[in-house]
Amino acid sequence: MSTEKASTITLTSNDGVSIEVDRQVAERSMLIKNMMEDLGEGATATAVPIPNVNESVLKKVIEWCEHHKNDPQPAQDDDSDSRKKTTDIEEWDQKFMQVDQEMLFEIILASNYLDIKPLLDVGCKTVANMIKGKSPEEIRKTFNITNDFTPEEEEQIRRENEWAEDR
Amino acid sequence: MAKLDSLPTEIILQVAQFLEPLEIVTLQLVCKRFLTLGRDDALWREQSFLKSPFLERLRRRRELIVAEPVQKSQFRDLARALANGNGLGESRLAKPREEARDFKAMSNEKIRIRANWDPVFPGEKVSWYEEYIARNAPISTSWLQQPRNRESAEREYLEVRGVALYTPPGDPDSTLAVAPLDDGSLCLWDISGTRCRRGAIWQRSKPGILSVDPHPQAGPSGRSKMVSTGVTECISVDSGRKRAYVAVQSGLVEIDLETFSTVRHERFPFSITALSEAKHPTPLTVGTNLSLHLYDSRSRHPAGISSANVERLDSFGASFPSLRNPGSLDFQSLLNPVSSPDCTHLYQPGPLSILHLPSSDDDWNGNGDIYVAGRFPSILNYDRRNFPKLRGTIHSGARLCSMTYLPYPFASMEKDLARRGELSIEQVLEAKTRPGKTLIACGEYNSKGSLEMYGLSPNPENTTISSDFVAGSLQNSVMKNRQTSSSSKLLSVSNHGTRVVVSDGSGNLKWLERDGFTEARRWNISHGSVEAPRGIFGTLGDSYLDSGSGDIVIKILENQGELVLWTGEKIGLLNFSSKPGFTADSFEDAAKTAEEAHQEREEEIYSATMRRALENQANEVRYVRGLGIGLGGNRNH
Repeated sequence: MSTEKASTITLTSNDGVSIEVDRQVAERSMLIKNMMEDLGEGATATAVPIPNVNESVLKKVIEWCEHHKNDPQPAQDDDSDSRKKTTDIEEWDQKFMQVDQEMLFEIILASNYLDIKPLLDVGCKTVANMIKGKSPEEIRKTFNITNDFTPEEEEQIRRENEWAEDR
Repeated sequence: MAKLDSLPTEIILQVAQFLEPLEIVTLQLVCKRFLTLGRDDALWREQSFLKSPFLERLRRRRELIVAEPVQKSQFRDLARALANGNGLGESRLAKPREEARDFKAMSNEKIRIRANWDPVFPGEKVSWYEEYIARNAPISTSWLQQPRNRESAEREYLEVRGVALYTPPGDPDSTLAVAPLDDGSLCLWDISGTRCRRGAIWQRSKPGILSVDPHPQAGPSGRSKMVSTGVTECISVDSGRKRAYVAVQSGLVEIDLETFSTVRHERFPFSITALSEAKHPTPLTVGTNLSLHLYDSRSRHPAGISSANVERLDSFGASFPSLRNPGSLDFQSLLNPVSSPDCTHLYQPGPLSILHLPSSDDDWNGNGDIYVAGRFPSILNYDRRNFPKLRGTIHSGARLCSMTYLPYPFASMEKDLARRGELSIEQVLEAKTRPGKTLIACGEYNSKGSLEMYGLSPNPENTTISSDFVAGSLQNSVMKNRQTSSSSKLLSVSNHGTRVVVSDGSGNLKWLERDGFTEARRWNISHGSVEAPRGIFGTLGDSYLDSGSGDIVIKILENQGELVLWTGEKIGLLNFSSKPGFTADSFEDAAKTAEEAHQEREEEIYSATMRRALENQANEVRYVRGLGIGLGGNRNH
């Protein structure tokens, strides 16, 4: 590790709170990493605004980056064709994702914006696990979604999806 | 306020990637937005890819190539040698793994592999959700209502003698199956369920309107002169003009589908063996045992009067374009009293399949190509403008019986490499965008099935038409799969979505990728379908029979992603569902009493048991013969 890697940078959330983080931690975000590379050393001096993310979410994201700062870079997605379909999530991440739905979606949006692929995957897997094994009605209930189909439309879709029944 | 249904599209698709296909199907029923997202093409293309035999093979090959352990080194060298032996230098699959560590290179590789697999051509419209279903969902057959003989007391089942599809003009959602029946009547079924119950008979003409004799006498003597058996392409329907053309031995009957009246009746010198598709204003091409004819229903001949001059096309039209008008035509034919310009004699008998190709992409303007295949080793090609003149031939060597085409180019070398995942993205695009069409044919070669693909290129140097091709380039655009297509004769071929589907003499339906080699899936109609009523003459299937119901598919038609199958005696629809939508029995109005049903069941079980016993015995005999102590062996002593 070179010395400049150990330096810190300041991130500013959209509600104006500045948080100082290790550069190595912040660079889990490909957005920040690329920005740093583009701007060079001068950038570390000024605070980096993160306009789409509020303080509580940003803190949560930094907590995750903190814990995963030593992970090998693109470790997921090893085989280019067998994208791991597994929704297994390691224990620490599972605990980390035990938040209310709103926070969960905020984390997903933030990780998407900050380009932190592994965190985005963990978030999406968490949502996928909430969908798995449920009926459409249960999914609606879980995520508070209104059914906007007419009974006829519903019947039509059911007919088209008949192939998936009784298996 | 972040909610699941307010997340951006790309994130919901990300979530869907972690779901199993059936879970995505459930998600479609949640709300309208999820329905759209849950049928996303890219999503289902990826799902189709992940389940493809292509990927499985690629993985196996890759494992061999990069195999590390010492004991496998011979295999690895062999695999590498094979992979490198393609003339393009080092195989792409053998590239060192270090390179794959780079994230960018990895995602590029991912895209490249998918490009090699992706069967879709630029500009082609494909619903990947439907593709996935066709590639993976369970299959069942629904048999259309079997017509009964109205005239006899037994009301026995009548056999269906052919099939064509009819989409009435102005009603694009409704599709009817049209077929001649054993008693010389024409029968229409609704297969889309818009006019009556799906699969039920919609209309039927009176018996005897299809016969060789234009003025048939009533009575049973006329029966033998009705619809010919054994002619697969015996009916063509022109949806635009609401006409059906039915071949009855040497007679061609033109029927108005609205009134069921005979519009015209033509006699040809020999028995008709194949009809081309009928699409106004292109004249129908009629193949008889020893000749080919152009039949234009617009020419004014009163019905019933036999005439060979059906179409007034001038054989010298190309060389004397100015003479191609009716005035000079008589003069021309005076000079050429020998052959009528609309008819040509075949040197070898038995055309079985006639394919029309449009000359340009825009329309069927009456020009264009006619391809004829049959019981002779070459595919004959005619240009309609100078019809009786043979334009060229494509040598096949097999006996072909069914043809179709794909309006996209085909080049076997590229397909071969793409099959092994060796092409670059640019090469794939180049191969897919060059002009040309693909002729797909199937038949029999040395008692095995043969599936053949010919690249038809507008550039003469790439064409396969032997009369004007430059030697050497032929190789690049011909593919003959005589090894893995089938162990028995292939009977019919059709496009189905992004795949090619063939049927063989053992009752198999096989879906192949567009390379003609990679099998996407297969299904056996005789094992997979039950409850099919058998006609009283239902013996045709039995001679090919191994087990099951003994059905074989003689003709496949595609109707909006659905397959219509004709077995030689009945018509079925192929459904992607674990249970058939209907069975032929479900149309029987008189409900059977419990006793009758029981008795029928008993009979079925009995015949199935007997069948199995006979098969076992046959197998034993074969086995013993194999040991050399059977009949054949004894005779040697």
